[in-house]
This record gives sequence, structure tokens and C-alpha cells, in this order.
Amino acid sequence: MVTRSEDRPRIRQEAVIRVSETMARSAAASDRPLAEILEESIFWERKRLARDRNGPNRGKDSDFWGVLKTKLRSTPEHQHRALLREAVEHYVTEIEGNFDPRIYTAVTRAIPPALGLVLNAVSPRKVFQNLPHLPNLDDSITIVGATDHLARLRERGTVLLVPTHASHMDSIIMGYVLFRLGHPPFLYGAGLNLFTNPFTGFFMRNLGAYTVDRKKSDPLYKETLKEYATLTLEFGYHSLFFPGGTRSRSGALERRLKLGLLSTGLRAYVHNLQRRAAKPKIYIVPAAISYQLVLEAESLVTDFLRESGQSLYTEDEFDQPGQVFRFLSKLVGLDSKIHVGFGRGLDPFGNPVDDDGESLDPKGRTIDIARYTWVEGVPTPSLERDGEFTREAADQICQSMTRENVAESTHVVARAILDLLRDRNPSMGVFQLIRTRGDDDAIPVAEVRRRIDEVLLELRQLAERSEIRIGPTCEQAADRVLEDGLRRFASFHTKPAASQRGDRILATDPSLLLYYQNRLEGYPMGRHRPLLTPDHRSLRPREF
Amino acid sequence: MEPKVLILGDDDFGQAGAQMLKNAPCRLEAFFADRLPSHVPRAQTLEEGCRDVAVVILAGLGSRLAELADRYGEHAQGDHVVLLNARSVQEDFELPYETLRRRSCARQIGVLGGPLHAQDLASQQHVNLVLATRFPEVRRRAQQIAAGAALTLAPSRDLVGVSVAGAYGHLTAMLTGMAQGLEWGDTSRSLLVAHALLEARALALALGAEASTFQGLVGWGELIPRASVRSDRHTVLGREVARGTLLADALAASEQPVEGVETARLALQAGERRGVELPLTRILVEVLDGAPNPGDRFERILATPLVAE
Repeated sequence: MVTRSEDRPRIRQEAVIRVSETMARSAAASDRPLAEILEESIFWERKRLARDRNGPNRGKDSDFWGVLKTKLRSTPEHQHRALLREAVEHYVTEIEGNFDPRIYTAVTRAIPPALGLVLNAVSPRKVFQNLPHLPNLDDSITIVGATDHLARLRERGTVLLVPTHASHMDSIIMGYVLFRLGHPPFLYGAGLNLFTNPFTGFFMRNLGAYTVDRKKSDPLYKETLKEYATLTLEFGYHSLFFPGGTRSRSGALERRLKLGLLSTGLRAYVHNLQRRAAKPKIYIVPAAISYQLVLEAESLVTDFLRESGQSLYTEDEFDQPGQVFRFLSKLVGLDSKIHVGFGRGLDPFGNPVDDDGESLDPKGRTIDIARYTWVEGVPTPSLERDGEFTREAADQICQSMTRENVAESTHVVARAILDLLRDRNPSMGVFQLIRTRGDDDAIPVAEVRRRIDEVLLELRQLAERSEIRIGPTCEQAADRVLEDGLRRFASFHTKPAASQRGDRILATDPSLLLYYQNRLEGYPMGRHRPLLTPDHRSLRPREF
Repeated sequence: MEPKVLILGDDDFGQAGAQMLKNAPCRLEAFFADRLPSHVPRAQTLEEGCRDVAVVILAGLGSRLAELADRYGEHAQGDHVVLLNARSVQEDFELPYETLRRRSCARQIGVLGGPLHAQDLASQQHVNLVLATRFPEVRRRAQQIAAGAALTLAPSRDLVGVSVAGAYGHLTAMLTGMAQGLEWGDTSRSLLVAHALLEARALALALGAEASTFQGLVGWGELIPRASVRSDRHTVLGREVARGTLLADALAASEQPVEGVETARLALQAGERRGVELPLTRILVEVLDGAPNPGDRFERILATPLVAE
């Protein structure tokens, strides 16, 4: 892989040229003056700046768009293309990361001991128990799935890693896992907020992240971001992004992926074919990050139930270093696991690939995927065609995530209790059930155990068919699973999702029960109808 | 150079294709095509037929489609455009385009639906069909070869809707036959067909189709006219069964496969799996299986308000 210091100016230059040309072409096609595109950018950016008074780069951005507006008024039309380039360059400057290979090498060497120390420091009990061996992240993170396959694909082309997204911890976890597997740095598009967070900022700035500002609505920004991501793939940088866009609010696995960034894989592949690149292939590798407890579960599920897109950017647990610290402490103290499961690779059309990086048809025959891109025998990009291929690839990614998901005691216990609450309150919609806990939310322990048994049986059958993975806490008998789940619920959240009082189980926080049970949504199990819509973005309407 | 079109198989759809494309701006070839007219040149091998091909027409129904898709899959390429007839389904109500997807690398697939009757083709009347596809190249190539034929293609993106409507076409034809066998009048017959249309729509929606599909050429335009076709093999079978002929005997008497019988069972199962009530389809299956008093059973449907869910 060529070094970033050489590539950076080339990527920047190429991004500016491509985006300005694309926008100019599309303006010409729709008979739209370039000034209108620039005015639109100014409008969106000023709107954002007015709303986001404490955002990073506010002063700089405000000055830039102010000056551009003045220039636009005083510049003749034939010079508007230069202004467009200026605007794109402004965005590229913000997007491109600060990755420096020298810093990366130093930091990756330091990560395990550094994070190990953090964990040691927050859990002295654990440290003393294990002396003279100090715990490190390896105790808390399990890596499963097609890891050797990933290594092989990396040698044969460029990898686009697309994990599930439940927590801001995800990028740190994935960075660490890739390091543990001996991979070089993966570029990733991280939310601007991660750069301002004191805990993650350092890693973000130095581990190959570029910024993604989800508050920006300007189509020019989105196009620039997409082109930047495409170019990094074309330049052979293995990349990572979360295809769900934001953290799952419901707790469920992603079912509707953001196709814009995902389409960069196919765009890069077609460009690679056109310029006859030595290693043109792009491999999409899905992954699932599964937590027994999610740091931000409470605020995420509150967001979900509020069904408010507006609250996506408010402060949550991750913005409070103390909370992160406490979470990590519990992670180690409870032997909680974070599972990272790697699926097998796909090509940008959604076909599976073998260990040699060859695409396979459903019967396992090798196929020449370049021919999907042909128009009159020549590789040619096509917005509509490639959009459709990307949609098909997205379906395959979701299926792979579903298979790599790891069910743990918290999910099973939440599922069982919520099922029983639904049984006991048949006339009540789930939304109402969560708000009121129903008429009778104290369920006999024996009944919960029985239901857990049923859920475990179904999960084990699914696992036998490789439709899900089962975590170690679910390999026990129902009573142990219940005990384990309740213990974890009690360990971290302000109010536990469920608790035991005498011989009864209480749904202490039904919202959290919903959040954790949702991790099992979409699997063919249970006697109740699904709680979520097929895209997992909201509760099913009839349930209200 | 004119695009090469390969007709693979020789069912009604293949024969219709051969007839319609006789004077179209394309180079026509065929394989597995004993029943196609002699003016269509035969490829020496399947591999040769698939070489440099622009459009493949898969012309087989039911298990024959799966067989053809398997064979074609050995030589399929990503740039091929494949056109299919909407009418047949496989186990688990697998739709024709899904059958092809499961057996080959083909992705640029178009499903043709709408009223297509052999007698219209024979009389060289202009045919109007729906082409469901999500790929622009499929539309482009299909339009290119349709330009020289008496054929208008209406575009759709709804592969599921067009396929389910196509599959239900056979059921509608059987119901029409049964109404004839029971000597019901036009009103009752039309009412049965209207109920069938609603059931097709309900099932299709559960499978992810768009409701609007059924308000066009493949819904009203395809299913309603079936109420007046008397010679269709499904209509004939329905008529005979309603008159008391055993299904096995009626099937044996038919010169061609009557795949709608299996389609009805598969549709019912698909509805049950997805919680979709299909009372008319259920009665159709019961009557096919020899349930007594078919008239009384269908009467129950006539008494049901005709309301879309």
C-alpha cells in the first residue's frame, strides 16, 4: 500500500476535480446555473451554523461561507466553476483525516498496554484477582468468524469493512480488533463528535479516521464525502464504515442500510476497471459487534421511543467520560464480552467471494463480475444500475450481520420477559405496555425460566443452521441464564431492565427490555408477531 | 450489429417470442427448442448460443424453468439480459426471477406480464405487455428488440407484483372454468375473478409488491379478461373438475401441463406463512382435491363483501 503522505494531495486534487465536474455536468443537464448550487450550499451551511452554535470549526466555516457569498455576488458567471471548486476543496479539507503512518505505528504499539492500563485502573479488584497477569482487552473481546478469509481478501484487493453499529465504542473496538488480527490501518468515516470527545479524539485523529459530519445537509458536501470515500478505495486503502449510518436506536440489527456510502465500493471498482488498476477488486466484509450491555442503551432507546430524529445529536452517555469509565469498569469486572463476528466477503454486487477473492454464483461457480459493469462491452458507471446492485449487496450484508450476531443472556432474558408481558396483556399495544408495564408486571420466576428455556431452544436451532451465534452465557441452563442476565442488568444502567423480588421478576425498565430484546428481532422465532417494522426503524404501527 | 437473442426452451412464451421477433431487428437463435418454428436458427451448443448474446428468453414453466435456469447458469454472464414469463412458481412460492437468481449469476432480469394470448399473436394483433425490471439495460435492450415487433412494453419496477399477478392468472382461468362448469352467469363469474384479483394483490403485498401494480395491465388488464377466455387449458380443467371429473383424470386429459393446480397450493401455503387470508384460493384447492358441493363453497365467497384489505 502506498503511503498516505504521497496520496493525500492526489486524492484531494482528484476529489475536487471529480465533484466539481459531476456537479457542473448535472447542473448543465438540468439547465441550472452553477450559482444556484453554490447558493444552495450557502443556505444549508448557514442554516446548520445557526442551529449548531457550539460546533467545531464554527468560526472558520462561518467566515468561509460569508466570503463565498460575497464573491458569488461580484464574480461573473464564467468564474463560478472556480468558486465551486473552492467550496469542494473546503469540504475535502474538513473530511480528510490527519492520518500519519509514523504516528499510527507508535500508537498501535501503545494501544493494548494503554487500554489495558485504563481497564486495570478502573477495576482494581480484577487486577488483584489476576495478579501477576494484568487483564487486557483480549479478555473482554472475542473475535469470531471468517478472520483468515479477511486476511486473504486484503491481499487480493481493497476491503470495505461494514460492521453493525450500536455504540460509539464500536470504532474503538473495531480499531483494536483489526490491530489484534494484524491488519494495517483501515480508514474510516467517523462522526465529527468523536473527534471532539476527549476519550476518543486522540484515536480518531491518529488512527486513520476521516470526518463525517451528519449535521451537514448540503448535497455538495454529501457528494464530496462520497467521492472522497470512493477515491480512498481506489487508492487501495482498506476502509471501514457503519452502513446503518447512525447507532441503532432500537437496539436491533440494521435492516435498512445507507446506500450512498455503500455505493462507493462499486463506484471505486468501476473506476478501477476503467483505469485497468492492478488490483481492481473491492471486497465488502460485513461484521457484527455484539454487546451484552450497551453503554448508551438508555438514551438510544429513549430516542427510539420518542421517534425523534432531532435528538440524534444530543449529548448521551458517551459524551460523559465518567460514564465511559464506569462502563469499562463493569465490562472487566463482570467478565462481560464484546463479540466481533466477521462474515465472509462479498463483491460490490452482493455475490459471495471465495478465499482467492473470486466471486461465486449461487451454485458456487466462479463468475466474471466485470461484465456486470459492461455497456457495449466496456466497463461504464451507471447510476441506476449501480444503485440497484448496491441495494442487492445491502440485502446480503444485512443477512450476514444477522448470522454473525451473538445472542447473550441479556437479550434472551429481555425477550422472555417482554414475551410474557405481552401474553399477560394481550389487549395492550407494546408502546402502551412499555409506558405502563401492563396490569401485572410481576411474573413468577418459574414462568420466566420456562420461557427462557423456549427462547434458548429456538436460538440453538437457529445456531445449528448458522443463522445466529450463541454467546457463552446462553450455553447454560435457563436458571443460570436468568441469573446472569439480571446480574448484568443490575450492574450498569441507572435502573436495571429487570430485577428479582422474592419469587417474582419485575420489569423495572421496560424500555430497556425492549432495547435488549430487539437484538433478536427479525429471527424466525417466538409466538408473537414482530415488534418492529421490517426495516427495524420503528415499532409496528398496529402496536400503538 | 443487431443484438443476438437466444430463446431457451419452447413453451408458449418461447413460441410467442419466436413469432413476435420474426421481423424484429435482432439475430434470433434457439436451444432446447423442439417446438419452435423452423425459421429460428438453432445454436449448436448452449455455450455457443450464450456467446455474445444480448438477450436470453427463458421459455419454460414450473420445473422446466428451474431446469432451464440450471443449464443456462453454466454459461450465464453478468452483462446478459434475461427475460422471463411471469406465470410459474416453484416450491415455497418461489417466483420465476427468484428461480433464475438462485441458479445463475444473472441479475439483469426482466419479467414480462400482462395479457398474452396465443390467438392474438396468431392474428398478428398488437400486444401490450408489462416489463418489470430494476435495471435500465433490460429496458433498453427489450425496447430495442420490441421496436420491430407488434409489441408495446410498459415499464414497471415491481418484479414481485408482476410475477404474482402472472401466477394468479392460471388460478383465475381455473376459477373461470369452474364457474362455467357450475353454469353460473357472467355476474357471478366476474365476481369470482374480482375476488381472485384481490387475493393476488393481498398475497403480493405481503411479499413486498406495490399496490398500484394491480390497478394496471397485470392486474385488471390481465386477470379480468380471463373471465372470457374459454379455450385456455386451465379454464378447461376448471370446468371439468367443477362438473365432477377427478383432478387426476382432468390432468391426464390435458395435452399440456396445467401448472396452476400446483400454483394454487403454493399460493395458499405462502399466504398461511405470512398470515394472509386467501379464502377463495383455499376453496379452489379444496375443490381441486375433490371436495363435494363446489357450488355451495364458492357461494360463500360471492356473499363476502368485495373489499381490498
